[in-house]
Amino acid sequence: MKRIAGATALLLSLASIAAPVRAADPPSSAPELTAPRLTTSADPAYPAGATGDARVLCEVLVGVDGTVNEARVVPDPAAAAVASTVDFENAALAAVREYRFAPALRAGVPARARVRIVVQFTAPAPVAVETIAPAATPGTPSQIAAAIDEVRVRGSRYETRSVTERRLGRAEIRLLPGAFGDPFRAIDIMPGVIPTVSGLPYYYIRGAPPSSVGYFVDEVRVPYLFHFGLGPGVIHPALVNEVALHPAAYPARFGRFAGGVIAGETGEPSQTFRAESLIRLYDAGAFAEAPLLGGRANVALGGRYSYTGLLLSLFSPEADIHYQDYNARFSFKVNDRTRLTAFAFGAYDYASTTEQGKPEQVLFASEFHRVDLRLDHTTERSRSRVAVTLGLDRTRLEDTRFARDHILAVRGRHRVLASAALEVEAGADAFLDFYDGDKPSIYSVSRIDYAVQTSLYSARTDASSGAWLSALLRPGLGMEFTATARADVFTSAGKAAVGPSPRLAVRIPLHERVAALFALGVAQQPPAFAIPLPAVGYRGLPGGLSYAYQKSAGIELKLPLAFTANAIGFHHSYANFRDILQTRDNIDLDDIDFDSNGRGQAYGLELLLSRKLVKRVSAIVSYTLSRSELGSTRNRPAFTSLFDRTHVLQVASAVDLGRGWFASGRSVVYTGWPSLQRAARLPPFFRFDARLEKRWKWRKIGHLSLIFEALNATASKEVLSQECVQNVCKNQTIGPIVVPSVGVEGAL
Amino acid sequence: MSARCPLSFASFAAFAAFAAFATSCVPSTEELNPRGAAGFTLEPSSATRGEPFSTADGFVVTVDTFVLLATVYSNPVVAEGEASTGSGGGDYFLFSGRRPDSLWVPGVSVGRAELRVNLEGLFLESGYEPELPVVSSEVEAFLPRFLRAAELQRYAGDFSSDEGSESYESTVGPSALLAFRAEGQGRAYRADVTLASASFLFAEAPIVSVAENSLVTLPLYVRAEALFARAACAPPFCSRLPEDEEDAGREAAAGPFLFGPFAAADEDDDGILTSAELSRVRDEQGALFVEELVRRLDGVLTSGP
Repeated sequence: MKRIAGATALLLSLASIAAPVRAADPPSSAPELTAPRLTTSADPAYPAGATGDARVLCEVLVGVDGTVNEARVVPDPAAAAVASTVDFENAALAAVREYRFAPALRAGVPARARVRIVVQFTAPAPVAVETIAPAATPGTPSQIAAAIDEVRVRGSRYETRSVTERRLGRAEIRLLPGAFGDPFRAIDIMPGVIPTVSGLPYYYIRGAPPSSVGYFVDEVRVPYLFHFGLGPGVIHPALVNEVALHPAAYPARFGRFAGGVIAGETGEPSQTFRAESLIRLYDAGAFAEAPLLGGRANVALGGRYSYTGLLLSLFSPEADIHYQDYNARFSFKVNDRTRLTAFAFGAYDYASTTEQGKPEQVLFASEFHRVDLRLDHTTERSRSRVAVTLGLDRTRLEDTRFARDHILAVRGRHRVLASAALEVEAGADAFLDFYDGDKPSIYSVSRIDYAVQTSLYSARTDASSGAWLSALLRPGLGMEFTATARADVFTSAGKAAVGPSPRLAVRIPLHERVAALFALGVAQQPPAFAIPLPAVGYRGLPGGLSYAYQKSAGIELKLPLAFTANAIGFHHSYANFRDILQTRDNIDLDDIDFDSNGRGQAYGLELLLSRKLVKRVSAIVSYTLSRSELGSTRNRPAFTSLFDRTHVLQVASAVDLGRGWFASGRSVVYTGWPSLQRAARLPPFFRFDARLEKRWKWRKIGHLSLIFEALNATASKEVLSQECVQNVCKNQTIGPIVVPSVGVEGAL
Repeated sequence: MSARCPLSFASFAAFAAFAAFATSCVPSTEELNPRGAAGFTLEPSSATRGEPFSTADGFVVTVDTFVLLATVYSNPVVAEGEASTGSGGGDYFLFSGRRPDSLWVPGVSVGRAELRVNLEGLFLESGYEPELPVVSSEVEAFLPRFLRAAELQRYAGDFSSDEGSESYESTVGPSALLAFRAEGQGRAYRADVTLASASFLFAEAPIVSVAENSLVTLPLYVRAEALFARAACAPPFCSRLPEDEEDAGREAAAGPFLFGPFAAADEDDDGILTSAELSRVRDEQGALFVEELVRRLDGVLTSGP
């Protein structure tokens, strides 16, 4: 049965709601408003395993470029007659996000507009799709009247998307094997992301080490996004709407990281109650969100608790791993244009080993907490945000000694639609990091350790602040130019440095289905540890700032059968990069006398072919061909990065098998590291991840799923080094690192 | 996904409780091996501190500089046959014997620990950075002299391993630097010399009790005048052997020190004693005076007064 044909997107007119703001009947003092006009629609897929008819009322925000900036499901007055379920809603949202519009016009100037669209599903017999066909609809005002349920012109919660970013939505992430439904773990399928060790969520991005990758949640900087080792993300997946990877020329609001930015965005406050829970072999999590005060307010709570230790004790009693996290968000709509949000979240991680007869050795013991208070104000032509963030990072050093970082940060920005073709954003932010740490007794550790710890953990206040001006120009014909001028100032222990960070991103359509992409950027950052650790950083900006000079160009293609593809060539140069992972044999976090003249470069080609994983049969093919080189320093000649991988290929596919069964698999293969002993490389690595889900619906408003998932189902071992004796080399392997998961997921 | 059901207070209370349960602080309960420090506090003799002293042969000697290189070791004491699970080690010091400083080793496991001290010159190997000592600011200027002196003693050798043989160079430099003035018998002498490396171990290492995050020290007596000791050896380095009891009594009454052997090294009669001159002086039986000086270094650092 062709279930896709069984879906109907029905665009209804509810004149009584829309009338007050219709162009034909504008308020006397308001400028004339022309509603968005649908130009391109997409077929919604009838969900596999679903039965019966359904209708979903979607609210979408149409941007000034005619794309759908935001889509969500809203309560449907007709829901009592034909209810929807999460499957229908996901399918409806996936479809309407592909819609294209001629933007709304206010006084002749393009403006954002919010419209409501009803997507109706009829089953089981195939039914002709009643969407407005692109060929028939462009510029047909009568059909617009039928298409638009309600028009509300307002600012977008989400930012204009960067032409260089790579973004994954939750629906796709959920089906990606090996990601365990976790948005932040799914980012490693993107091209340009080079894994260090299979399964570990620490990546090299276009040759830049993990220490130079910035992690953000709703623009709030966090020290890490993943729990220790193979753990899941630190934000409950239900709260995360999308995750974006910005490998170069980041949006203006992101700075102070030279190697890329991974940014998660939480979803809009829901107008209906929703809840999710997941119980797995090694952890359990829950999330709930509900509107309050008649919809003016919204509260969301979520968290996760691991009992990994219980599982580990069965076969590895010397190991102990715990992680926990919590998320709480309260949102209050002060008026139609102003929203106040308080978002608190945090995470805790603990890992240790205990050898027989010896004291417990802590491998990692850290936590972070954030409270972000923000005020968003939107008008027809502008959007402003001011926010203040309080934070506490803590890492245990030894015994009862900790390193601490109390954080006070403020940020503000104002984005305005200056004309039909020009958006301008100005903003500034400032961070104060109040570092301190418990120093050991001078008598209890070696003199070198004491000197290092005194240097690292003496109380100090580091300040970093930035300001930017960014302009997005859309001169027509689909062209986009985003130019950003940004600079940051860093101070630490009496040292100061200024880092300019100009950026330019360009998108030029070459054909109806082909566009060229270009990006140039300069990014800088202060010295950082190889692996981000909460509250641990270098004092006094030793060696000065590190710089990345980012250049990339490529094309994006829209292919038949809903496939999209892009090919990006890049060349990134790195200067003054103190990557202490220049040698795999010496990953020493205490090394404060590192080489400060590190230069490097990375270049290559990234290919991405995808068909959204929410389709019945979907796929992602990601391939990176790259070379990462470290330049010569006073101590050594130039050489290929010891973490370089020439080829990284990933192929993922998901299939809706019907009757509530979903299966997906992912193959990962990449080149081995360069050998330290020989001119050759270590053997390549291959693994296969698998996921199988059986879903049962419950009263048409919820579901219960049994999920089997495994990272590295092939139990492949990875070669990390070689040991050579008299020219006979033996591979040193790790693993196999296999992460099996059996989980029960319930949702309302 | 959306469900049309109202939120109950109980639901959110449950979630709030879950969130509170899931949130905790990094624990700090694991038991670590408690450690402290052990070492020596220098007790320089009055002669070492620069007070003039007289010799049996009529000289008055004043020590102006006395700088030493030494390693202090402290390790947990374990019963015979038991493996040590505690931590200890040694630290390398360049220090002035004229100041009552402390030389101590941190990170020693709490409990009984033994203390030792070795005079050790700088060990240089081609291709390797030398292990530099902990240097107090008062003697910082002397470190280059020790390095230069060590370089002069570099020698070549072969190093064999499973992967073949390769040549290398290494050296052990001097471990003491002595500057003094002497006047007597109508003459004046001065010297500023380094002395070859010597190894010194107490006959029995003293035992201390190390306490957590604390320093425990024993006195280490420094006697630069021991280099001028009058010992039972052949002239001219030492006093002649007493012929009878009466003669022995006269020798003892004359005092424990002799300057004569140093004066004998002044080949060019300029009153300045150089290392080269000292290295050529031999006794009546042909033994080198510098070798005697090395033996005398054993008496420079002692655990008892």
